Amino acid sequence: MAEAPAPFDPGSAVTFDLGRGAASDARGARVVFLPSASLEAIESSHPDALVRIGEELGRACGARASARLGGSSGVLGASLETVITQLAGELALAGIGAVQIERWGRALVLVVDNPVAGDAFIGAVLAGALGVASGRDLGTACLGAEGASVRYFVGSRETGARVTSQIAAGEPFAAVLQGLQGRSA
Amino acid sequence: MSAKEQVERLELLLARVKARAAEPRPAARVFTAPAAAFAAPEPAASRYTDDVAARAPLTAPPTAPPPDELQEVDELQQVDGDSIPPETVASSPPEEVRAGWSSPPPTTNASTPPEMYDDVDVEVSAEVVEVDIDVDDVPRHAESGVEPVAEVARSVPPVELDAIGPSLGDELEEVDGGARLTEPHEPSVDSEPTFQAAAGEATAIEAPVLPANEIEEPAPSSSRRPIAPSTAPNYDDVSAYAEESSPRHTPPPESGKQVAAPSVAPPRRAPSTVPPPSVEGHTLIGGWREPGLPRGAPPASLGLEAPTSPPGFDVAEAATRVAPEVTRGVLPATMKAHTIQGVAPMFVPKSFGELLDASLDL
Repeated sequence: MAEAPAPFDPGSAVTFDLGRGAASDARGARVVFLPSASLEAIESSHPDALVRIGEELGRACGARASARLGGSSGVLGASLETVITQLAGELALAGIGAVQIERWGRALVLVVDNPVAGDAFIGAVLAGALGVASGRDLGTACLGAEGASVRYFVGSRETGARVTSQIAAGEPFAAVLQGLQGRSA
Repeated sequence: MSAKEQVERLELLLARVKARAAEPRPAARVFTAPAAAFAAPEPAASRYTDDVAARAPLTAPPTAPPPDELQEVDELQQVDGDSIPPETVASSPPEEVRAGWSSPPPTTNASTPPEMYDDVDVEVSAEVVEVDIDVDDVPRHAESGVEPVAEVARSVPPVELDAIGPSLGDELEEVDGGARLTEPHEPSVDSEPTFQAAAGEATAIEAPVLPANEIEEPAPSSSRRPIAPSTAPNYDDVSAYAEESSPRHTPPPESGKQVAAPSVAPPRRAPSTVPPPSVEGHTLIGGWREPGLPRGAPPASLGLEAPTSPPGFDVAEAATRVAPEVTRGVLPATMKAHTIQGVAPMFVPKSFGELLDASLDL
């Protein structure tokens, strides 16, 4: 029976230096708190810039989670529960949303509840966090929303682009994922 | 002239007329009728062909007959010497007319002074005045309802009066009781046309005898219809109606009131020996009972029972309603219809890195 994952410790995750007027994370890196409306404004005027901001936000979250787990090797050798616990904790502190993992056969799917911004921004955050945490070059593809939850496929950039085209063509995400299983077999 | 004087003159005239009426008159007095009497299109009864035609002038109303008609009457009276003096026929009005006469007739000129009747002598002449009146010119259906006179009399060929002399006396005997012929004709059973139903042809249609100058007026629509008891249909003999294509109907009166006509062939009644079945245990309105059977419920030997049907159930509708008849197969509730061979490869990643690498390989 596998051990229960270590709980996420949010203590000292953010330090506010009121005399200097600065906020910093657990590693001492300065952070800025932005209103969510600013993301919507950037998405409407400069969508590529928002994707870029999202990737950098995710990288920071992934780096902190990876630091908790002992680096990229520790992340890759840890269980799903341990990795998602630390990663979800860091994304929650950043105010991105609640993240969990779905395994559809051999496909890795992340589900984000109550996302703060659009699909492109969230997808960039997830890709940046997982890429930094695992040390892999990977991409994400939005499978669609179901209520307040949004699913993202995690894979290579080429596969992610194909899934995005199939979903845009109207194919159900389950069928798309099923099709990916046969291809790899 | 004042009213008083006029009344006095009229009273004198009345007394004079009464005195003249009381005076005995010669038997063969003939006078010529005034020309005003011929103003109406009276048919010329110059020839009397048979007894029917001979009876016509005798039943004439108390208006002045044509002179030729009077001449004929004189001749007839000479033939039959036993007849009553013809004063009631030609020279004097009927009794009822004289009794009810109180003022000069409307046809006389009211402006004529009564002295004219005193001074003017009536010119009596035996000369026959022939008046040729074309009866055909008279419209058959004038607005006043004038009809051709004595169609039957004109259609009969003429016969000399001498040839019918012996029998004419008998006819004049009937004329003597002339009031009887001049009475209004009442329809009677004997005078109605009769039909020999058994022979299938109409025979002996005895039409009422009309005088030659009598106006035959159509019976009003509200008058009684002729009833012929002898031609009453025998309903028991249904074969008598076999050849009829349409039922008999009494023609509706002109006023629009429909006279009820009996049914041509009444439906036959099939003899029944069993009472009809009752509905819900009740008999029809008024009940029904077979004559001869005791009152009460029908005997059990008949096997009749009151049907028990729910309220609102229509037996006739239930008999004609079409309902589906379903036939189902016998199948088990659950059945195994598949077979699984082998075991599906299960991917259970041992670490996050294994799952991530597997997803990247997709």
